[in-house]
Amino acid sequence: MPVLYSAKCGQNAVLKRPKTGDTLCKECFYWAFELEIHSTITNGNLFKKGDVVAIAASGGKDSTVLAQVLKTLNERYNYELKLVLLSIDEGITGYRDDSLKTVLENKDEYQMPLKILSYQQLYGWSMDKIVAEVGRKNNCTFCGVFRRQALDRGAMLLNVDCIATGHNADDIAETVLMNILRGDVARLQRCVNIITITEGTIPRCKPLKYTYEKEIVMYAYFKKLNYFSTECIFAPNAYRGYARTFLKDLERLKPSSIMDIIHSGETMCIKENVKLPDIGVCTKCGFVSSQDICKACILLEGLNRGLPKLGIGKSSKANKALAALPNPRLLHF
Amino acid sequence: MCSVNEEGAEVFEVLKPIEPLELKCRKCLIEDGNVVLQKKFVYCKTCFVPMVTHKFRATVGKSKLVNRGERVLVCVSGSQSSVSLLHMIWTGLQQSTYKRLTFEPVVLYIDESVLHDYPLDQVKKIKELFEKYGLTYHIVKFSAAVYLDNCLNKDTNVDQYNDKLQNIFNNLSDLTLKEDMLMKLRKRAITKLADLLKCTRIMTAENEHKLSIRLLSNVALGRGSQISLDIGLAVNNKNNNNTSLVTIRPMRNLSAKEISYYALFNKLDDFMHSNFLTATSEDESIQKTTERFVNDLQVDFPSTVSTIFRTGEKISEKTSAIAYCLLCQGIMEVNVSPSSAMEATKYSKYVSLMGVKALKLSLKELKNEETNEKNCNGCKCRNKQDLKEKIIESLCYACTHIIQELESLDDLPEEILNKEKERLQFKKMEEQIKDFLL
Repeated sequence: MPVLYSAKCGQNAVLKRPKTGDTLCKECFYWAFELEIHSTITNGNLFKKGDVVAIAASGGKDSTVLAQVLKTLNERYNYELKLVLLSIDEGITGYRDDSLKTVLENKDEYQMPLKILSYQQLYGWSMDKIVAEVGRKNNCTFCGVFRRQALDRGAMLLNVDCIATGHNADDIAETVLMNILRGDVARLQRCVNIITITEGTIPRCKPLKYTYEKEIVMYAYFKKLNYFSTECIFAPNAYRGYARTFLKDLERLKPSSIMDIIHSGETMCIKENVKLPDIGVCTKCGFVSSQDICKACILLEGLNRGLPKLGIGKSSKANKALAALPNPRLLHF
Repeated sequence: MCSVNEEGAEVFEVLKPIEPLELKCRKCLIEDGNVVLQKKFVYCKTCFVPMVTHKFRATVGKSKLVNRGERVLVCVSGSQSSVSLLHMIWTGLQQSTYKRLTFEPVVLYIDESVLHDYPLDQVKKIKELFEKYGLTYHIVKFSAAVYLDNCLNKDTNVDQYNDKLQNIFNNLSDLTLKEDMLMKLRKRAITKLADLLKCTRIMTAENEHKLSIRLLSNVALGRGSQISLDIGLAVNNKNNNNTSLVTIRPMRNLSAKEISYYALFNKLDDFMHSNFLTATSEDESIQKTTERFVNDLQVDFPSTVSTIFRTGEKISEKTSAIAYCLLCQGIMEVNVSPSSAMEATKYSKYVSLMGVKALKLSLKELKNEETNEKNCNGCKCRNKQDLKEKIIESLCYACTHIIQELESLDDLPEEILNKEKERLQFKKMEEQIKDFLL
């Protein structure tokens, strides 16, 4: 029996949109999906004409779909963007090496230049080596901190105007929940921004901010996009897992929950008397940091000194630990 | 996606292996302990009760919100928390207490038996309890409090209002919305009664645990901007500028466990108090799912509740707000930027209704087309639809979800409808004179 069809284009519907519950045919879904991202981009003024945009490509579904959609929209609506792919190789055997193959294929398919930066070459440590030092617990701290900076460095090398990341609506809602659970009000406020501009860094934007993860999978499935879908082999982060399961439960109850949470995040306001960290610059590497010495430098210092646990936890503790070292002369690097 | 946030994950508290607990109370070091808090602090009965009372007194005192002789409406639902609150206030008022409480409590019980099945003698028992304490008290039927201005008059027949109230909730099939609506109507009722009873402060008995669950479910419902209104210590009620009604939650620094031990040691009985979620499964409503989530997490990470709670304390209302929701008095989202979840949701609905056609038509044209379809030749149903659309304009994001589910607005309290009419009237006036306003 043909399914009643919301957009009335005459075709039989083949899918139900996870976001709105409407039934659509394949073509109309593509249009809806792409138009929504187009409207997110134009309403949020994410790009300017002539911008060079780096797509943070991991080879996963979000970045693959992002690359495909940005390419399509760029041609269709004349954004006049120059798109490049930027990948970070953390050096995780059995995970990143495989996913980078996907990125390489994407590069040929979408005809975009690709730049790969590796942790090994930036920091002298690959994740495989780091895990050998610190063990399976807390290694995500290293990976996350290093990647954020690596992306910035890569973007500077490529001389781009903007980095586009593949964060989707589910990711944002999850982060809102996480930041509440962790009591991190500074990030709670920042995490819903569609575009983050900090002085001294390249702006980052999230064109998929209002796109549901399920729809991204659906889009990739129908378009038969080639993406890599394996969980990282090192420590799936337990705590975020809780928030993720909770969000999925909510979505099942009420699909609009994800948008509701983002809405909550957007309208929340932090009390004036709450002290927020000041944005400064790391005295060692010059990248943006809220501390004198940024997390990446502390972590790296810890690794190089054979104290891998140094940067895990509060920065103040790390500073104390550094001060207690027999050779405090090196404290300020 | 990789699961690490912007600047790297932070490390969470690691549970230390359980050490054998001290047997003696950590305060007096003489008595054997009766209670263990946070898995490590041992208290005896004689030290525990003053400790809890002190937390309550400190919350009331620190806020400096209650003046000497001020009339305070104390809301009692029959829960362990509220019964304990009543007991603490009563104890604080006794002559023998050091630093006696000096406000004048007015105890309130709202009888919700019209919505839930309570034992028949519940009201009688509550009455006995209130009599025992000898404080001024009022027992009011929920429907009377929602619909009537003279709800303190016990002789009024409330049958028709009972029907109206039940109608509203029967119309809402979704448990999440049902519970949300109940909370909002309760709040309205309490605010109204405080006004009628000339109270300028309201005390409710929510504990830390309950408030953090409420915070998280509020976020999930899209009520993020209203968090401080729902969990804060003191909330100015903007509804009434000249009297400035403030809600105080003096139990907010106490955990559910502390309260149950307080009730146990003082032999306080609690009463049946239900809401729509009582005895429903966790997979049926957002509030219950949130509750399970927080409870589960609390087991592994004992600081969960207090962290959520303290995050909530740092969130405030937007000070620049000019409009308040007609139903919940929360902040309204006016002048939303085009790049927001609200607009994105509207746009999604629009594109998936239009498909490829979306390219040609703009959003406005769609609205016109929709209204054309809806017009069934000026019959009554159109008027109703019209009023609903209008009223939605003066509701906040989350309350629109509730009202959209309602079939008819006739069962809503008259004041809401009147206010809306007033607003529309005012808008019309503004429209007429707008060219002459400088």
